[in-house]
Amino acid sequence: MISLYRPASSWLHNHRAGHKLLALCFVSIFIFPLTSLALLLSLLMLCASMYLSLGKDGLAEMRVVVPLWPWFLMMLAFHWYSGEPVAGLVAVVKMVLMILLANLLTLSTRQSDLLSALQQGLTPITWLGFSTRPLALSVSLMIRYIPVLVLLLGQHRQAWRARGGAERRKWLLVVPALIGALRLADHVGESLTARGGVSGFR
Amino acid sequence: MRWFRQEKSRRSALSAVSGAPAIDMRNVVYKRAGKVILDGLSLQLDERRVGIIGDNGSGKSTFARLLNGLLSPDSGTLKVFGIDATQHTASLPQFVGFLFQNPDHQILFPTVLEELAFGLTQLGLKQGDAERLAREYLRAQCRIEWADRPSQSLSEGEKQRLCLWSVLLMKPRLLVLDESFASLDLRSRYDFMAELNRQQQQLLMITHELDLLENFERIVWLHKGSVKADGDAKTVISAYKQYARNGL
Ligand SMILES: Nc1ncnc2c1ncn2[C@@H]1O[C@H](COP(=O)(O)OP(=O)(O)OP(=O)(O)O)[C@@H](O)[C@H]1O
Ligand SMILES: [Mg+2]
Repeated sequence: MISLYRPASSWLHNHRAGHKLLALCFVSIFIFPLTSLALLLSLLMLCASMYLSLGKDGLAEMRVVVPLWPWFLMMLAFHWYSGEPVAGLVAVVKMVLMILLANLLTLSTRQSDLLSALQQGLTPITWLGFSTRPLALSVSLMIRYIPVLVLLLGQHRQAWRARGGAERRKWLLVVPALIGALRLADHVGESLTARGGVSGFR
Repeated sequence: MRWFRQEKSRRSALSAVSGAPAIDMRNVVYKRAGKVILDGLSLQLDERRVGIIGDNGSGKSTFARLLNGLLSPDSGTLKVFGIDATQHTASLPQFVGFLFQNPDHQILFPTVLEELAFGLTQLGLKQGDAERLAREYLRAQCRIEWADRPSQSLSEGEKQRLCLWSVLLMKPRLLVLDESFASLDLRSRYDFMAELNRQQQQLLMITHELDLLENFERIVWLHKGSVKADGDAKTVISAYKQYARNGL
């Protein structure tokens, strides 16, 4: 399995998973309604400096968003077409920012710490008689596999180019990428089921 | 919401029926898209090591997937350690560990320790206890330095070993391997086989590599979804080789 977790330790690694998760939630809620391009761009710079602070080749970790550029282009084109080019830019910068922030969490947090944090955070649902484990496990796996899916898209592009696929018809890659994603979901699901599913054997 | 409710039925703790054979299959039919894939299989398997052989598409993987609840039979009865597989599908993995062909499809967690600990937390252990046990296990295997390695950084053979250990840590009674050797080089295969032979668990192994099965107590040859031959290793393997060379 492709992993974007960096075992190296940084100041970010040393923070509690729960705190990081909470911070990510709040920051996302704050960013979501923003419409000022200038503000978003400065936040992006801020985010980049956080990557930089991770140490050697910290900045290189930002490349996770690169394979997504066709989608960004599509968003831009769509907004351009509807006469709101700036809104397009805002949407793209916002998305890049959110992905980069989420990636900061995944690369500095062990999967099981994230899982425990989620399980703790979900405690209120136990008051309704539900168990936290299934939901926490599903969500933590989802968070973990988002960057993997992005990477998958990039791999298809390489395979396409290796076989001499025309750059212009790259949009055709959406189909194998989607199939790849479904297959990945299948494998994750099977592996999980084979070891007791989201609820385990308790 | 569905899996919340399923949760309740999973909870009912089950114990294996003592003295029941590992696998008791009667007239099991499995269909997919209108096609009969397993055609009324009846088998009682309780030997320590059972090998399953047969052509591509003969139904071996389908058979294996029935055993730990990844699939359910359309008709017939299937009991695994005395437990009705159609009723308690979700409990089967507790008794039957499954090793996939491709370790990349099995490994869920980014580091070795987490992958090993996961199965233990599935059994109800706290994360901390699970990680401690996993560490001890790694130490016993003389691989403690793997603990914090990204699972992705392991070689194919090492990954497959990680998968095996994660399953063994859950102490299943039966271990099912579906061509789990395909990506290993010859030396790793023999190493891996030797490790398997050291285990206490019952073993059900699907493979195209007949010489790995030489010492197995029993071999079943599946052909087009039915049992073509069933018996000791020597007889069944030579019959299969004969068929492979000359046809039926
Ligand atoms: N999801 C599916 N939909 C339709 N047919 C399927 C599906 N899964 C398996 N089959 C068919 O069932 C038959 C048995 O498949 P199975 O994977 O069990 O064979 P196998 O013995 O494991 O083969 P191999 O040695 O190639 O792994 C094949 O003909 C296959 O095409
Ligand atoms: Mg198969």
